[in-house]
Amino acid sequence: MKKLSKYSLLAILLLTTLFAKAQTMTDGIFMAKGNLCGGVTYMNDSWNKYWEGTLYRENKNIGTITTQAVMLMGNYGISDRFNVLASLPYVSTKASAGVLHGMNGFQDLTMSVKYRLAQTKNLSVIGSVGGSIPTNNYVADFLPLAIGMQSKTLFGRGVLYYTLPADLALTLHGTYTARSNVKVDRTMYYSDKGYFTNEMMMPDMVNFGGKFGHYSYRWQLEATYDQQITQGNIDIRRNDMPGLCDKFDFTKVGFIAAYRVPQLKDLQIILTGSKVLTGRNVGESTNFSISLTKYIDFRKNRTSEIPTGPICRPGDKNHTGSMTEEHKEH
Amino acid sequence: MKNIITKNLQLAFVAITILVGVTACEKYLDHDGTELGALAPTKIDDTAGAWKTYTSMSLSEFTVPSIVPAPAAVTSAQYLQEIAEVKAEVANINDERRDAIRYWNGGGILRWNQIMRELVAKNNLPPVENANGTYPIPSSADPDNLNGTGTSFPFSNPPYAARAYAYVSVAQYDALVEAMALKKQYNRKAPNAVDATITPVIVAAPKLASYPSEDAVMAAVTYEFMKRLFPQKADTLYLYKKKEQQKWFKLWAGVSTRSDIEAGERLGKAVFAKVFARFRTDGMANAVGTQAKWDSLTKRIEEKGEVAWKSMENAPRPPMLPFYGNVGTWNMDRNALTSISTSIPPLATNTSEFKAQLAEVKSYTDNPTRENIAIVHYWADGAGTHTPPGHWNQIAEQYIVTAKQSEVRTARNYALLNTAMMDAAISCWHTKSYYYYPRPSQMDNSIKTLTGLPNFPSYTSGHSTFSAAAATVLSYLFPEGATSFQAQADEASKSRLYGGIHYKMDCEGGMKIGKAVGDKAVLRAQSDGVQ
Repeated sequence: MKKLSKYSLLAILLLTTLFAKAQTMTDGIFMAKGNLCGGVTYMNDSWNKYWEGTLYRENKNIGTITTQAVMLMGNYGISDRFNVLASLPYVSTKASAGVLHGMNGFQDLTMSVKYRLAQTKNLSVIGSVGGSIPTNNYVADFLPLAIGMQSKTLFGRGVLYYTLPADLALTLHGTYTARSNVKVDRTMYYSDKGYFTNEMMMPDMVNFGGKFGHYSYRWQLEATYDQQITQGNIDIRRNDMPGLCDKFDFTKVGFIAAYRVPQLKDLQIILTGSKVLTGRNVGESTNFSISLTKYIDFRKNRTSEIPTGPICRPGDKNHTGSMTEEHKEH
Repeated sequence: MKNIITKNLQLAFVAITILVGVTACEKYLDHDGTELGALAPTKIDDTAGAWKTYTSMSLSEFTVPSIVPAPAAVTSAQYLQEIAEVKAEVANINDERRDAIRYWNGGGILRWNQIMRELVAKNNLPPVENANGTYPIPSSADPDNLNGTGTSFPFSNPPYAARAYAYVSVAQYDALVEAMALKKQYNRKAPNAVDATITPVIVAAPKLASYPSEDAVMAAVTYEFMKRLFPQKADTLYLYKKKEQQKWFKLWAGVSTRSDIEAGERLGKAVFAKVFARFRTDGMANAVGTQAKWDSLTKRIEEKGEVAWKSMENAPRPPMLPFYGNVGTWNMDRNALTSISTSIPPLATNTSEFKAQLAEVKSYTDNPTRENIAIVHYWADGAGTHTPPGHWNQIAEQYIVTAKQSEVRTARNYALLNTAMMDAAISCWHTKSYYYYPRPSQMDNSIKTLTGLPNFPSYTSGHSTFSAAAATVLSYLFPEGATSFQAQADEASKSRLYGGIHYKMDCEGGMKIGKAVGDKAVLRAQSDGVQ
């Protein structure tokens, strides 16, 4: 199975912003054919200092911005090397100080397909494409308390998954996200110049990162690293509110810990934590999440030789996940 | 089957990856909202030289040798030399100049209004507090914050912006009226009319006399004013480049000569000096106040047993320009202003009527509808924007463009609108400091707002006052839009209640007072000689 969670929401200044991103979307694991992994994640992201452009500051009129999200996620194996994934978060924001109103609501539906392009002995080369679409007309132009950006996105991603001895694994991923312009409620704003329109341009984004650590069917403990670079060069102006088209950049480190509980039919519990180390126009956020995931094999006529559940180590029968309900790895 | 799917998947993956890559180029907007077609006025208003100016002046002040003396005859050697220069410039046209010609050919007053709204938005950010919890006061002597002021200048908040729009519009209007009078008096033809071998580039052949150049007048008067309103180095440079373009573009286009332009520039500067004399002495210098004066506002209300406004910011910020209510008005005298501004007192905070209004605010913010939030944000015009007066200039622009108004009529209509809104600001700020009324969030700290909470007293609503005044003036100027203007003013007013930052009485009081202020501008419009 997968971990669904993880650094789901990018902690953008408002955090808001976020594409809720299931970990499975950036890792090397596939669900076996005919298997569905579903899960739910709770995420909490907060910050009380941020970078106004490159200036590190606090703001006593917002205090701590906290974003919480509950995300539903699904991952289905069309084949052992071709998966479809979807996720949808419900997001809620609040400020601990000042008078600004928090926001909440369903955010963007993200869907993607993931395909294992090549497999050598220990290396999976994976490609993924997908996109996201706002599920409703939530308020975007209210950073840092908006729940999302209202942009439609299209992304392409490459993942390298390298399995090492002793159940160690290294995953590297990179994503290019094209974002559609956004229509907001007002007809004048200033970013790099004055605009007299309700349309805001949304620069594209690049995300890349990696993780390394123990990865097996039963256990997972990995360290993570993530980098986001938003194109363009629009910074929050001195003492201004953030704008949707700003350059939201960050460097973040964290961990993922997961365990499948045998007594609960291999229900997986995933904990993640991360911290933004440095950034531009984003909050110095601390993020943690907990997820529960479970997989189901929908195939009627299973044989003992075909994999069930997550294929943790492609080509390695000992790590492909449980082979049948009766033969779960111990 | 499986192979087919697999192969197609690979192809699809490659195709989509390429697609993402292609769409990933440089981002831009197709329209930034400043697009203007070529200005082709339906009426040239060639009698505008007789229109009433705001500043007292006579034409003879400007016909002196040092400003706009009688021009050289078109048969003179000097003029023929100028014609030769025009021909050379037309022959030297390049893409950069063509772009400038197209830009300014959209209308000089409209362009400068856009530029001013852009600079208001750029500079409309509140100063950051000092380490000791006080706030720096922006200083025009140190606009770039190079000498330890602690913040840049200006903070073009709504009162500052209202004043900027008003003075620039008045100066442009007064200067154009004088230019129109001088054109009529001297009646010199444009170079393309003198020498038929000159074909205008992009622009239409002028219908007005050429001397002095109205574009150079606008460029000079506007630049001189705006560089004082927005004196940061980068802003002044930006303005200078725009000024130079507008000053020269009709020479590049073949329809103005150097002496047309130089005379226009001198006239623009001369009119600027007269309007600026009023600007310097209108009381704005005392609008900020001092700690002792701020304290006295609080004390006066508390001695009456009422709740005084206090800043909800951390650190508490001094009220925004609390003595702006004493600045000089345009369309009424001080007694009329004071009378209008204090004619409707707010509810006492210990009454049940007040509690009902407070509860109403909370009901709007506890479970805001998406529609109401859209209204709040459409009209917010808060920090970092061109402010509510800027928004009403934007609304007026559509009507001016549709009506294809001449430069001088456009200037007159912006002057009427913007003097009315500056009077509205003066009146509203007078009311605010007079009653010094607490915001809803001060009276009930569970009220969370859907837009930034303005840092000045609640009663009356500035948006309501601005909007009612603007709608009144625009309804007079564009009767066909009256229903729409009124509906927009009502919506702008209510947006502040929906947003949780004003009581209903603030909005209703502001609407009534704004209407009274707007009526005064309409009185002027009815007697300024304009048909």
